[in-house]
Amino acid sequence: MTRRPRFSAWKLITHGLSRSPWPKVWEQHELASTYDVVIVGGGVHGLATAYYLARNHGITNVAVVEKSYIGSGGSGRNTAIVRSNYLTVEGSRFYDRSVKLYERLASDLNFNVMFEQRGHMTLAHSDSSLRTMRWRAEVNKLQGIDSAVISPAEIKELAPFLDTSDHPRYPILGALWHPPGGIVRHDAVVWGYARAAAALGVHIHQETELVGIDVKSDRVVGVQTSRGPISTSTVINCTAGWSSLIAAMAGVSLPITTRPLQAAVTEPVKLFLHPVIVSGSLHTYVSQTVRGELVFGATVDPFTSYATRGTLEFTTDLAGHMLELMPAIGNMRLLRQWAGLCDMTPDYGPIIGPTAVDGFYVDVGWGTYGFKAGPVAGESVAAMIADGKPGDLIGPFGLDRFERGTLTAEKGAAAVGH
Amino acid sequence: MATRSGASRTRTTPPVLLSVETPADSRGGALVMLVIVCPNCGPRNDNEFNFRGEVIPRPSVDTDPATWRRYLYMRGNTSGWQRERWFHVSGCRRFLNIERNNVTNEIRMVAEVGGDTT
Ligand SMILES: Cc1cc2nc3c(=O)[nH]c(=O)nc-3n(C[C@H](O)[C@H](O)[C@H](O)COP(=O)(O)OP(=O)(O)OC[C@H]3O[C@@H](n4cnc5c(N)ncnc54)[C@H](O)[C@@H]3O)c2cc1C
Ligand SMILES: [Zn+2]
Repeated sequence: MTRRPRFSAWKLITHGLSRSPWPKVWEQHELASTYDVVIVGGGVHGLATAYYLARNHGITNVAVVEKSYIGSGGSGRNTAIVRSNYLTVEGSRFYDRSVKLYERLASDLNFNVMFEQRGHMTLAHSDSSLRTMRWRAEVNKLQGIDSAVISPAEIKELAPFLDTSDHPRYPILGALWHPPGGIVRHDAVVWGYARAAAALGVHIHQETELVGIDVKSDRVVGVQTSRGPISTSTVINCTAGWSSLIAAMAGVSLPITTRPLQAAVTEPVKLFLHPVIVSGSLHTYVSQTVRGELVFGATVDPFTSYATRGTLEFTTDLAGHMLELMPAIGNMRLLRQWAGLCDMTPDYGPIIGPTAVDGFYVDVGWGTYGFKAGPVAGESVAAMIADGKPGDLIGPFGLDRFERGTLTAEKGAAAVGH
Repeated sequence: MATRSGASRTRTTPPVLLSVETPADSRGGALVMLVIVCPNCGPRNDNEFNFRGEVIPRPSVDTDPATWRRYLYMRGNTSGWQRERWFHVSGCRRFLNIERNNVTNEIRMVAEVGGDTT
């Protein structure tokens, strides 16, 4: 086991002055011929699972195979919103555990993940959305989650730049206010987990594509990769937008469709927007990073695709909606826009658990909202592998719910809110 | 008197609403809409249509619940050529079968549902 390098202000100064090279964060390994567990996908889910397998259960003979570089999927493209004010009991409980893990993640990983709990505000522009928010607030409170409906006057105090007058086409009638919500530095979470997992002995294989899964009498016996075969009895599919393709290699079908989700960022300006603002009716949300850029997002593209192209439609709709919320930002310019792939499920709930193929597990269906779930999903999936069965937190999210017809009902809190 | 350029500088371009400075990631398609050539209406932008998903044969209504749920929820979601259904909501209001490559967004076949290629 290698000790992970420590970072401190002192080291930053001495390295800066002496220009000596930083120590390697993790080793590159040859592909071993056997691993106890092969995790497919080097996003936050795959890396967190690897870390918790090693740290909580001492399972360290683990490979993470990533076809590109770590964080190249949704984990490096998301807008990094973390919250737990979901609509269902099972949803709120699950995401609340993730918020708790995020709160101490920087010290767990000894890596600054810049988690800022600035508060998360979902605006209501109609009576029906106000009603859903009351419902959400009550579900949340019963789980001990800080969540409440607030008035336009309180909204104005928290976010003075929002137009809370009755002039807009869709005036703001109230909001669901969730103080523990906020934003995190997504790349840092990915790197922090990778570094910590590697220090515990996990092999992270970048530029290693999974091309096949060997199944013998309904059991996983190995995988084929672009760098050669690996024999293993346990494979975990953490490939989000690509998860249907990986599952098909094991002969498993999933209720997933892949859709691009776009985001955009402006030039940086002085900090003026503290909380995260979401408007479901206007299909948009915004937060300001510590660098001062406004980060915008919206709903998924109108049709399925594996292409991460950007569209002009997205930008024009976004601009129109944002100006309705915050007329004052009309002079700001967009710097970049991009897209990532999202694995959408019919009920806006994730799919975590075993499949009909022994040893083949899924941790997928993260749609537009799965970054925040990285820590709790990693912890729960690792426990499931160690104990041989899914625990209480993830029980409701099994793949078999689609056969049994026991879907979750999370759409009201997950469709735009991320 | 020396003028401080910063203080007296004015914008030469009129204020713009969130102008797009650089084209987005253009792998797999440019910054344009999909154009679908409707057999009834001719070439139209994708935002005139409703995407209804991949074409999946519907089992008979008296099938068992498990088969029915598989039909409702399970998807091939392949990457590449896919046969899918679209509805021309702002045009002829007909359902179309379309073969689209969902990586490159090329379209190689559009036909009205109920036509020869159903
Ligand atoms: C624009 C945008 C904004 C978002 N905003 C938020 C938000 O604010 N909050 C939130 O919680 N969530 C958000 N999400 C969703 C979130 O990004 C994802 O749910 C999450 O990152 C999924 O993580 P993951 O580790 O499961 O998958 P990913 O990070 O997508 O990783 C999957 C990995 O699998 C790899 N892979 C694929 N095929 C193979 C193969 N054959 N072999 C090996 N490796 C393979 C890919 O290269 C990829 O790196 C957003 C998503 C997008 C696109
Ligand atoms: Zn038409």
